[in-house]
Amino acid sequence: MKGPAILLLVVTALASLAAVLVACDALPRSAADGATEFQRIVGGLGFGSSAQLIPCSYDFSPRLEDGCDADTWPIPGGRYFCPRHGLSLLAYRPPEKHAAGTDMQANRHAAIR
Amino acid sequence: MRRFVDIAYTGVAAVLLHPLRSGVTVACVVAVLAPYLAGLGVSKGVAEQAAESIRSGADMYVTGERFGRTAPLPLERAQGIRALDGVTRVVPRIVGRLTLGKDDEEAVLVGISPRDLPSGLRCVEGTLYDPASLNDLVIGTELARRLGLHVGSLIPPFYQNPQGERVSRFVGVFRSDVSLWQARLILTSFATASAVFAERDTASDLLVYCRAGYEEAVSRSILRLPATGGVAPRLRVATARDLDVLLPRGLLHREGIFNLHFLLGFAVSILVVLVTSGFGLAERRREIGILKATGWQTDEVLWRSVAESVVLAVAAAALSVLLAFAWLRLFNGYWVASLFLAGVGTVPAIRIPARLTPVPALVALVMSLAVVMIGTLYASWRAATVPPTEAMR
Repeated sequence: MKGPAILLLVVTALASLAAVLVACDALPRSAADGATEFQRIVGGLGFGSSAQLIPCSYDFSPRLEDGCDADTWPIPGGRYFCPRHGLSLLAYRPPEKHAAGTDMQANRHAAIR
Repeated sequence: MRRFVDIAYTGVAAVLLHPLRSGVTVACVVAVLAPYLAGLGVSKGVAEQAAESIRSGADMYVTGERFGRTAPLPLERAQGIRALDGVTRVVPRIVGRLTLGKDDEEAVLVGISPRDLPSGLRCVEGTLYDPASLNDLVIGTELARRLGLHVGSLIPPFYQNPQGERVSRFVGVFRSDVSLWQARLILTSFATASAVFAERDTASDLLVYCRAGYEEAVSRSILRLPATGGVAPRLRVATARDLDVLLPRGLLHREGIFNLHFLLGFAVSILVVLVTSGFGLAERRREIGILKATGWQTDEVLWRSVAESVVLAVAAAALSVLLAFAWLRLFNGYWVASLFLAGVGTVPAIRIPARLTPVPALVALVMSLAVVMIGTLYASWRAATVPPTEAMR
């Protein structure tokens, strides 16, 4: 009956090692040396899981666009064909709309209701 | 109690009885769980860097809007914003897309002229551009590697401008670990970016910094500013708080095909475990038939299978966590990062942002238990409920 005992020992060791690694990785840590400085220089850049502006600059940063580029071009409503929004690792909805004129529109809609 | 422990121990021994079956079951679960954990780890890392970009960025971003789409802003709009109560600084910025090299490598050109730079820069190898001199560029690591550029490289004019084009000089390369979004970045002065895009007196956005507590009032005031000129775009404001709200807070916020892929993966792995643990393994059915013939009850057979499944599931979950950890930390997300992050190569030139937290690890354990249990218990129950003579046939 040595085999099962050794197996239990190995599985316990694996599980313990995994738990220790996860616990260490989850400890709070400060941003990488220079990360804060980089963001200060560029004024805050990047947000989503893309390092380039195509196929969707919204996936790069919602500061640049407030929706998917593919929504209006080349096919209206093309958001559903945008390759990034299928597999987006960090899915986020469009930011709250703050645009000149939207307050007026909201008031008009409220009046209609 | 002792009897249950003894039966469970025979379940542990059963793992070794069919080493190939046990190996296939563990490999099947690891094949689905390890990339899933790697994806969640990268997602967490990206979210942390996004949070840093909000903390260290401007208080609000003002862009133009035409036909419901983003449009460049005339620089004169900055004057009105600067005059608002509570605004301390307005910095125009250009963010644009261009392609470079014979393979048309994608690049993000950012033109900004920051003030109050620290003397010893830690995020750049080389130096930052001189805001006063044209065509000094700082380049991201992924782009530098793809184009074979380094500090001091000169490149011939890569843009067209009626005022003339210039040779550009790369004065610095970003350090690989500062951010995901430096990978394909070209950072330069506002004047150089204006020349590259041949756009005079316009910016893609205005970075607005204001005194603490004034953000809401300034945001409202900006939207009320009168338009200047007949075709001036409407203003749109995104505040740091708006961006903070967008940050995903947990597993449930990840959606789309990322989760769907893995859901399908888990469903397929249940079928694979079903096949390897009973329906497709006659030897295992005969083993259960013999146990029943020698006096074992159905619940004892199932308890033995539970113990066997727990050992296999814990081993598979632990191996998945270790593999995902090694994949992200030791191999820097080799190949898997390019699946999840657009613009990152198979062998990433940047330090992949990643963090494995306890919640995904526990989810991995639960998933592993579910896959192995469903796959094993149903097959064992079917074999244990038929007459032993039939099971042994």
